[in-house]
Amino acid sequence: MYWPFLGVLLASYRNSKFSLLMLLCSLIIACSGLSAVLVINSSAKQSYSSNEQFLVPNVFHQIIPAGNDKILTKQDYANLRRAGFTELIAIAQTQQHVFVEGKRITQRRIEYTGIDTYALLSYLSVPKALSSTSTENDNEDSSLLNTGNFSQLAFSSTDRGSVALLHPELHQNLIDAAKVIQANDGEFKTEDARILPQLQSLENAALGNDIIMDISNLFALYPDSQLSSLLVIGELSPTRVRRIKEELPEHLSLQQLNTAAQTSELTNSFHLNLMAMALLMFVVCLFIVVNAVNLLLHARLAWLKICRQLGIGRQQLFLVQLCEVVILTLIATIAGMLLGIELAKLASPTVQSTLENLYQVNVGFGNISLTGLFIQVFFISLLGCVAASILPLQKLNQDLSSTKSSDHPARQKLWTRITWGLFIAFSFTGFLLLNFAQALWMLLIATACVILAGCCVLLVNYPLALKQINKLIPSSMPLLSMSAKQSMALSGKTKIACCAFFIAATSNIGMNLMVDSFRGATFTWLEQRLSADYYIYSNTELGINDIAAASGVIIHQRFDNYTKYQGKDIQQFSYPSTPRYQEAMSFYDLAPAFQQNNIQNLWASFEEKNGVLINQQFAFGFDVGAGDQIAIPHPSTGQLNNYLVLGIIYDFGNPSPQVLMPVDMFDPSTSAFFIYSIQANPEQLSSFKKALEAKGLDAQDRMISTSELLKLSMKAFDDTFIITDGLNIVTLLVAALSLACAIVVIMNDVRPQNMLVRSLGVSAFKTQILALFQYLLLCFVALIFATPFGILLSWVLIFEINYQAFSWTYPLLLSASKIAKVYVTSLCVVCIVIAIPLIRAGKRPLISDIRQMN
Amino acid sequence: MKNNRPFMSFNFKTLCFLAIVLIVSVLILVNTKSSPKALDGNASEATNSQSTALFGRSFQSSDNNPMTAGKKADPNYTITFPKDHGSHNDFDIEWWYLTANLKDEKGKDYDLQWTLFRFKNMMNHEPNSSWANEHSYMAHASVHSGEHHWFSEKFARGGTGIAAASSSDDIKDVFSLFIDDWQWRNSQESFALLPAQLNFNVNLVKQDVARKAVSNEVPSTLSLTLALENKGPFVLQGEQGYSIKSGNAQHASHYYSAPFIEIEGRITPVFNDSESTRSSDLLPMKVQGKAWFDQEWTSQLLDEETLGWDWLSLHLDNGEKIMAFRMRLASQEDYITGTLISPTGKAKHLTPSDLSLEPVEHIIVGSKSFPLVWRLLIPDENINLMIQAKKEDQYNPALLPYYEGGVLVSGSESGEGFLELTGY
Repeated sequence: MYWPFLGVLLASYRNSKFSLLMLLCSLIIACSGLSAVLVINSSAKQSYSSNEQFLVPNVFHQIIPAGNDKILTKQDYANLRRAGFTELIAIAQTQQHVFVEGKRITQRRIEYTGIDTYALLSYLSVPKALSSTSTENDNEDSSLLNTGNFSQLAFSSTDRGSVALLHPELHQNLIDAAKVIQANDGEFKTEDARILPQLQSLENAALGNDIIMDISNLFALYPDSQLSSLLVIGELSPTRVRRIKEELPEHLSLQQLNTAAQTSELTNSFHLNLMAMALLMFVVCLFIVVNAVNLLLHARLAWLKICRQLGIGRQQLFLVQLCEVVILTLIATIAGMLLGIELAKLASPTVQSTLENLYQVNVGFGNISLTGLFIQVFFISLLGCVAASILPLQKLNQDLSSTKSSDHPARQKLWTRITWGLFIAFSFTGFLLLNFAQALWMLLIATACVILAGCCVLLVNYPLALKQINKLIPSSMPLLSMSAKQSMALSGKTKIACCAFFIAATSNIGMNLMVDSFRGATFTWLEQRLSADYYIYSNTELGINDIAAASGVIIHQRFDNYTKYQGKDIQQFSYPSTPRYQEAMSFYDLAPAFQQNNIQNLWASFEEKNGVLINQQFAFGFDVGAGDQIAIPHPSTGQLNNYLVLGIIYDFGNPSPQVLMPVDMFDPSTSAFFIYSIQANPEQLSSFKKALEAKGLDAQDRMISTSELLKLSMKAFDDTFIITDGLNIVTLLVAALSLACAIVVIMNDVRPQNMLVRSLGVSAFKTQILALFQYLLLCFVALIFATPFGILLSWVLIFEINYQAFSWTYPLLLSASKIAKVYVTSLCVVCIVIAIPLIRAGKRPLISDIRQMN
Repeated sequence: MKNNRPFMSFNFKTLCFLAIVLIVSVLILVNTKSSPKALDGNASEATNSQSTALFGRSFQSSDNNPMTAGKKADPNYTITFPKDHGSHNDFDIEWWYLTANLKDEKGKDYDLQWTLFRFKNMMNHEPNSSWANEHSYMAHASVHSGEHHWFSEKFARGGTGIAAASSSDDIKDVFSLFIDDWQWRNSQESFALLPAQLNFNVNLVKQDVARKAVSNEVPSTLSLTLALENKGPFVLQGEQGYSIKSGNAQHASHYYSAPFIEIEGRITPVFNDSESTRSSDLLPMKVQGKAWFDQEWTSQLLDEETLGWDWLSLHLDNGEKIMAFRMRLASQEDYITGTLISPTGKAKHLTPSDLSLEPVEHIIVGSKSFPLVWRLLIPDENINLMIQAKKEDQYNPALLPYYEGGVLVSGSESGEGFLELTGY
């Protein structure tokens, strides 16, 4: 009984190519988006989980210096090991660049990690020994740590020299970067021209932007390094924790690795964002699925009725059609997954650098289990598809059993009440979450509530709004008036598609306003902060202060120092306090003493080294306000001092909590410096350039003007949001496709009206234009409703989500042109997409509509 | 419609078939691509080769680089005590090695071994690093009861304060050997090997070589505190401490023993927190017995010629001691040598013509075959001994695994001792 019906089913594809294409396209888009995000998240998370364990499996504690002014020494390590704490492994880490032939080849610093591999081998080399601290389920194979790798690091053979391990992709990146500068010897070196150990690739998700080596190699490369921590391998019993604490000298402390959890929490917010966007796209795609399945069923309604008359049971009909959905989902999953993996590959460099810049975490090169991915994507899609098919199938059920419309005024009233009820529920939940939620995922739910509340408002008010618009159309334009009235009728039938469009439009407006505000704030801030005329970036002391003085050029060196505050990394940065730089500073908040036109006193206090300026990231991250005292080490002496927080400054895009301090507090021999800011008139500049060239420094190459720097910074900014823009357009496109599917169904319903209009002498072209007007009117009204909700969404994104995720905020910039741009883009996308079914309908001869009537 | 039906049905079947083929192909592709790289095999190969390099580098006779070649054993060198108990840093490898056959108060046997190795680093690598000097240390310790096996291994680099051996330059200090919390220290606070206190701990080997899991009732760790006292003279092995190990005399070392050590001490069982903590289990066991100590230093022992060696130290019930050694070489005949020591400590060096040391029976332990039954003949002394491992499973699962454990002696004399088998 099934086979004949299956035959009918396949034959029906001939007449429903469009809906099948829509269905497959939407499913493929949904699956590819979902796969791409799953791949990106999974590979990034693999490296975090390894980072959380500091490369070594089973690490839950570490021993670190008890304060910023304390140092962990080799003698401490030896004493503790000799006291029987043999589960301790010394780790030293330093972030440095890689050089080839004296030229820096890395864009960002590589994390060099030195591990006491001998100690580690002692721990790992007796695989079946039951140590008092090991656990049964150590999974050494999946970790970087296995005896083979570390014996390699510990006992490198004579002819090959020492060995360091890194991920093949990073290795390849370094080789490629060395090729770019056309290095002859190709030897990777430190800034001081010390040759790095022989780099050996190791395919392991735990490796990201790291080079792992034996600790003796690290100290040979960077003799001034300090031990970072002593990792404690294995879970510690309370007795053992007590014993360690008793034995620890005062300057050391045992720390549970909760900082790793915090890092994970931070990065989770990014993954949650990405996942939320993918799911949004997925949900919008499901709207298409609903419409496409509806369309598919609509196309074959006549056939299905015949099948029923031939005695095929309704249950069988549904079962076979559900099987069809499963097979289509399967095909779409496979295609979508392959597409998604490619998309992830394309997007991963951007995502990686975004993650690393935002959170200062190393993102590794994870391996993805395709089976796992397939299973996840397939089942999510299947669930979504089956759910999305239920509504059309239910409708089909009604169509097969009765031909009467179920629309009844009382039912409509109930529906309106339910929708208002939902609006209140969503609004209330959103309000509560926005005011009281602490976790980012709850804020994302609040965002969803805002959008859904908007949907409810749209659904209830759509006919009313259209009615008002209809009143505006003069009676001298009967066709337009009729078309607007038809729109009202259509609005009842395209609810789902319009909701999809509304969601896409709201997200689009919200995201665009957020990005625009961010862009505007960044640009203003950069313009203000980049107060010098030129900048020279260098990793080494150029010795150009004398040349500058001789040329009359005002030059400021900018130093940076990495230190810790409350156990977390912070950046100390020098800031000149000349009038020009004072003007350039852009404050978010000032200490009460300096708030009322008392800015000069602030700078005096800054110059006297009584106070410092902190960025928003520092203030929000450590809950420090302007006027508070903070204890941080002096940048050159390391002595712990209390400083007054004079003000909080804007510092967009900087992932680090930063403290600005006067330049003369920094010692050039201990602080890294990378930038010279230059103020000069053209004559002075020309003389300075000549002097630079005489010194063998390529002025053209090294000096960047402020305008160029601004351009470069804004380009970097725009690049960061490419993914967001891409997802916005895709979401919009998907919503438009959903609308197009709904239109095809409606086209059939409005054939009688069309036939009547055309038989009155209105040309096919005109009817098409009128139809287009109807749909654009629907979209325009949806856009009007979407605008306030989009603005609300951007407010939530900036002041709630951005604050929570990145610890900084910026003013919301409401740009009418930006909103208008979204309107135009959305309507254009809709125009293009719905033009396809409209043209198809327009080509249909009048006789076919008349035949349909009969 | 009628004509179309079979055609359509066929199409649907084909579609189903194609879908299944597609899924299977994708799954095969997926599994092929996502299967983890065979790192383990490589890793274990790397481990072995690197570890061999660790032991092998210093002894390569072809290494003529004066910067890296270790000092060769000198037949004219006179061993003097206590100076020569200390470390001989010019030589590539050196070890201090104690084996003991002990009994607890209930007469239960405990055979133990403790060894500290010093290696001169392969390439003096990273001379500029404060985290490396030219020496590395490795230590092994094992304890065997009749049923169970505890073993631990340690590695440390010199110059870090984590491991060291007193050198002759430290003669005014207390003699000590240590790595982490394992320590051999003169108990009279002088620069002498003995008397000494030895502390170390060993972890239970969770599975025996037959992969049988060991019950949680067994202590996970044994902590040992032993007092060592020398009841006889030191014995110089070979010719006045110059011990030749191969027929062409290319392999040789400086080697002396202390075969008359008496040990008293205690073994304290330690359980994991989650395991049994019955108070009776936690009581230390008093042990006592005989021990044998060796110190050997050389730069000419391990090279590509060396396949491995078999070593025996025996305490006979008549008070005599015997050391027997067989060096297995790739392109030479096995070289057998030994020493017969009278109860008063008078040593007789045994050359290959003086003794015969033959394996009688090989037994498979895990996946390897080891000679665990031996016949030792010293015809001139009317000694004909049958030596048999006390238990089969005495395989130490170290980075470089080897066999070592207690033996029982029967035949013309009875006794007990230790057997070491390497290179199998």
